Amino acid sequence: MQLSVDFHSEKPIYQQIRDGIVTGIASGTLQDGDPLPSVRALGMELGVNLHTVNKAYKLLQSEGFIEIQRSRGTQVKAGKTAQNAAEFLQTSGSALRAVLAEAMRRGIDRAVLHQMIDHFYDQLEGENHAKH
Amino acid sequence: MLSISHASIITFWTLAVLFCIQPWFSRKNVLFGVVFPDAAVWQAPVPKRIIRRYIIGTGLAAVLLFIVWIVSFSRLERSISFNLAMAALLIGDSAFFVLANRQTRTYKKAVVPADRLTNKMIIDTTQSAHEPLMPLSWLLALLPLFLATIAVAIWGYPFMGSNIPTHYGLTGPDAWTHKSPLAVMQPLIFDVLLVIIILFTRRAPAAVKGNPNAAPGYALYRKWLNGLLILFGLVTELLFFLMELSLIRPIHTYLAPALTWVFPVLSSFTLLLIAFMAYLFFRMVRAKESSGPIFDNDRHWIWGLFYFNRSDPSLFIEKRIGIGYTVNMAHPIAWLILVGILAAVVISSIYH
Repeated sequence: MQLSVDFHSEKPIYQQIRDGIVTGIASGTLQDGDPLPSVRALGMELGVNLHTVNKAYKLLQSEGFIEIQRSRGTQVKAGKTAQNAAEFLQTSGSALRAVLAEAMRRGIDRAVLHQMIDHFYDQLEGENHAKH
Repeated sequence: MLSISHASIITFWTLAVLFCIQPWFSRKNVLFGVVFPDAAVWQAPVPKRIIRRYIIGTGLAAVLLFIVWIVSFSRLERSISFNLAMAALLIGDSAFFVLANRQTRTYKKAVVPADRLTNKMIIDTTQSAHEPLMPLSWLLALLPLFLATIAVAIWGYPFMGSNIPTHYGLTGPDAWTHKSPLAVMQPLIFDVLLVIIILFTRRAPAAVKGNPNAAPGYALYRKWLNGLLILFGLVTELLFFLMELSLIRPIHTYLAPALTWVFPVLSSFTLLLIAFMAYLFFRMVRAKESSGPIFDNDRHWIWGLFYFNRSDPSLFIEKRIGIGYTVNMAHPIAWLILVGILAAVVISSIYH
């Protein structure tokens, strides 16, 4: 899976790493049990502080997206993406609300937003099917 | 002039020529330490002019310094005049490089559209997880000779003479110091430093990055370089082991004749290793084409020569110019390693 970090983005780097991996899992690019680079390897390859990568991995671990084991290293835990829906909506709802507020402020139509969500949903679903 | 040794003249001109051709010891999309989206920069008229000026400048500087060296030679002590000539060549040619780096940066700013380079780093997590890395077990190859040298140093100590050679010329030892445990163990410091360098360069990132195809085949090249460093370590260990052994008086008589041919053989082998390293560089680095979005991190490359990036955890990184690695100056531990290397060099040449 391709993981991208934008050094000029306002989004914190740890969040970008976390979001990138979650997107990979959602689209099926990352499968259950897939290995992920160690904190050190990822930090050195991206050229970002190890604390930053560690923060992202700890967050992913607490959200149940990855498993960090001494013997097997870091692995994807896609089977139980596994937080329940309510918890997910609770944590992601505020982010979605903020995006909607910004869209409304710019006068973007509800239908256009719906269309955009449908488009991304279809795209992720399509990639997921292609994998299986 | 006749008393200037051939060896010093050859060393001077080898360094001078290496400086002249230095721009070619980089990836194809790097010019004077400045990164570009592709190799086309080498064909553009302005960069061609910058390269031409650099070659003429460094060439003329070398000729001029050589003349000054010859003229002033009789007035200075032999080694001082050589060291001064080499230092002047190093500083003079580096100044030309820094100038060329500045001109190339200005050219890049004016010509390369911002969207051709990126502020993003894209990596392939699957590729990273299966990257060819030098196995740590390879380092075990260095252990037997290391332990053997320590054993010789400890058990042979009472049988060693009161003076220990600290420097070996082509004809054998040419500088000595009083016998002490430190003097006897000194060669081993070099081995420890080498192992530290191998460990830190094992994951050293490429000088050009941005996406998985920015430096194609780099991980394998790095593994090869690590392997060569281990071979180099074995050669030096063998040399140190024999040196240590030759310190023991009863053995010295038998070993001394053998050492006269061991030195040239091992030196030739080291030269072969360096030549092979250069071959690998041109085959696995220079010959490769970067593609995809290239990360623009020139701001971390001071004068295109020194890497300084606080947030990058790497202590070593591939050089932008030249073969091998350079340290990330932003980390104090990198400075410590540099000081260690310099100290090892100074200690070994202090009695020269």
